[in-house]
Amino acid sequence: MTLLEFAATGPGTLFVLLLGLLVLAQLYLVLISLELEERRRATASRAMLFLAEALVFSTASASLHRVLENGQPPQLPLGAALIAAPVWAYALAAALVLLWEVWDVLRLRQLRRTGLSSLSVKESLDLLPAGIAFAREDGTPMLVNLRMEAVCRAILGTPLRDAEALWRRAVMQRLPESSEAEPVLRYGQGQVVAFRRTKLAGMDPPCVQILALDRTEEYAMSRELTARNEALRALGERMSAYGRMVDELTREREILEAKIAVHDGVGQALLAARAYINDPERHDAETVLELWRGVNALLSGTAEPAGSGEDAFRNLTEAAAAFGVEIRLEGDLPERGPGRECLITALHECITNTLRHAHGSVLWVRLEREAGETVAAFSNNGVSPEGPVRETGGLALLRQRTEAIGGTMTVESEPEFRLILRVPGTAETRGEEKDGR
Amino acid sequence: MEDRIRVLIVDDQSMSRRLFELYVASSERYCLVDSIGSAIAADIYCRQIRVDLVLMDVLMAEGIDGLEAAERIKSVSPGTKIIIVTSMPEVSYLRRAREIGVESFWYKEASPEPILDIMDRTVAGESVYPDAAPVVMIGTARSTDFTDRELDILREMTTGASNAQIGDKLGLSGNTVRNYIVQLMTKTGFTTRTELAVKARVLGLVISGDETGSR
Repeated sequence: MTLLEFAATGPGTLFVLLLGLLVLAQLYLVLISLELEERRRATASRAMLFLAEALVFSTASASLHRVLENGQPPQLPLGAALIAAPVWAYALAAALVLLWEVWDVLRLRQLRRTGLSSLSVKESLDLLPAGIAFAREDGTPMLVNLRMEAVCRAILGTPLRDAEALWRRAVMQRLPESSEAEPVLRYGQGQVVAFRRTKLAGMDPPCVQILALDRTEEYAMSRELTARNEALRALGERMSAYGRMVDELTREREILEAKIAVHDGVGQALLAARAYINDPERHDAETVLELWRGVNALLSGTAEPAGSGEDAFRNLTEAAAAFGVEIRLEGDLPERGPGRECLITALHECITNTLRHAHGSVLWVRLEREAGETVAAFSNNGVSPEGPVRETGGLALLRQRTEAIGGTMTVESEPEFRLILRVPGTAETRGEEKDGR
Repeated sequence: MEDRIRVLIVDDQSMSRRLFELYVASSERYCLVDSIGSAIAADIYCRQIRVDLVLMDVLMAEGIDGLEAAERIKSVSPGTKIIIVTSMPEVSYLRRAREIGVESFWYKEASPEPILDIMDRTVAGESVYPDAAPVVMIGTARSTDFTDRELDILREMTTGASNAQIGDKLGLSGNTVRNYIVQLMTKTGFTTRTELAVKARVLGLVISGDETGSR
C-alpha cells in the first residue's frame, strides 16, 4: 500500500499527523542544542536532519492535499514519488527517527545537567561569596557577578558600568595601611573589602579580572591584634626600663657594700690608733699610718661624682688622648638609643684606624641633625689610605650594626679617609623618650 | 716598674675601681696601667701598650659588656690575661668566659678566695674558675633546678619579649615557648610571667645581652 492509498483512510490521516509531530520534535531538539551551546557539528547534524524531515513532510503533505482535496496531480516529481512510496518505508523511517530523537533527548538532558554554558558560568559566579568582574581594559564590563554589583552600588552608587572607575575609586579611598596593589576599602556600615586586579594573559581583546574580597572580619581581628600588640609592646618597654633600673640598684648595692668596707676600715684604723696612743711602745706607728692611708684612699674614691666612668664616649675620648689622638667633637650625640650605640662603635673603630693606619693626632667627629636622624662624619689628619679602604673586621661589623637599625654607612677613601654614618635618633629625642617612659 | 705585672682595671663603678686599685697598689708585684670606666676602650689600651692582666667587670652601663671586650682584647693581644669580676649569678657568663678564652673568673661577693690570690695564680699560668655560679633561690626553685633551655627562655622574658619574639630568636615555636614558661612558673610557684621575669632579673640570674649598650 502506498502513502497516497493509506492517507485516504482514517488511520492514514493520523499517521501523517504523527509524521508532522516527529518533525516538530526534531525542531525542538535543534533549539535545545543551540541553548546548551552544543558542539557545532552536533547542532548542524540535528538541523540537517530537521531540514530533511521538513522537506519530505511538507512536499508529501502538499502533494497529498493536491491529489486528495483538489483532484490534481502532484506539482513536483519528488511529491509524486513520495506519495507513491510504500507506507511500510514511512513507518520504518518514522520508527528510526523516533528512536533517534528519544536517544538524543536523553543525551541532551545529561548534557544540561553536567555541561557548562555561559549561563551556568554566570549562575555559579553569582554563588561566590566574593565579588568578581571581568572587563575590557577600557573598563567595559563583560561579566559581573551579583556580589560585585552590590559592592559597586555601595561604593559608587550605580551598577558597574566602568570597572576601571571602580578600581580607581578603591585605590583613591583605600585605608592607609593597605597598598595600591591591593587596596582595602571601608564602606557602608563598617564592611571592609579588599580589591585585586589581574590582567588575564592570552585574551583577545585584553581583559582584566577584578576581585572584591570581604575582609570585614579579618580587619576587625587585625585591629584588635594591633591594640593587643601595642599593649604588649608597652609592657615590654616597661620591662626593659625596669631592667635598667635594676642595674642601677645593683650598682648602688655594690656602693653600699664598699661603704661598709670603708666603715670597717675606719673602725679598724681607729682601734689601731687608740691602741697606739695608749701604748706607743708596743705598736708600730707605720702600721697605723698605713691603715689610715687606706681609709683615705677609699674615701677619696667615694668622693668621685656618682656614675663617673659610665659615659662610653668620654672614656673613648680619654683613651684616645692617652695615646696622642685628640677627638674634636662638633654637634651633639643622641643621649641614648641604638643610634648612639652605633656612633660609639664607629668612634672606637675610627680611633683604632687613626692609631694603627693613619697615625694621626686629631680625629674630627661632626654631628648634624636631619629629620629625626643624626648624620656623623669621622675624619682624621693622618695619612690618607693608599687605595680603596676594604670593609673587613671592625668596619664590616659596623656596617652590619648600622644597617640593622635602619641606618646607612658610607666609606670614602679619597682624597682622605672619611666615614659617614646616618643613624636614627638625635640629641633632642632624649626629652621625648624620657617623658614617654 | 717595668718588671712588675701591668694591670688594667675595667669597671664602670668608681667605688669598685677604687677597691681594685687599692688591691693592685697594696702588692709590689703589680702596677696599675690605668683604671677605666668603660669596656669599649679596653682593647685600645691593650693594643697600644703592654697590658699583662685585665680585671674586667661584665655589666657595663654603656658601650659593650665586659665579655665582648674580653673577646676583642684576646683578638688584638692574645698574651694579655683576663680575670672576669662580677657580682651577677648569671650562669651564661661562666660559659661565655670559657668560650672566649678568659683565664679566670671571680665572683665579687661569693668567691671565697681573695682577688689578689686569683691574680697571682692567673699570672702564674693557672686558670681559676668557680665550680658553678652562686646558687640563688627564685620563688620555690633553686637556680640550679633550671635547664639551659629554660634559662634561655627566662633570659629573653626579662627583655619583655612576646612568646613569638622569643620563639623567633631561639628557633622555637610560640607554643613550645609557652610550654617552657608554664614549666618555669610551676617550678618557681609564680603566678604571672611578669613576676617571674622581674624576680629573675632582680637576682641577676639571667641578664640579656641586649641590655648592655641599650642605654
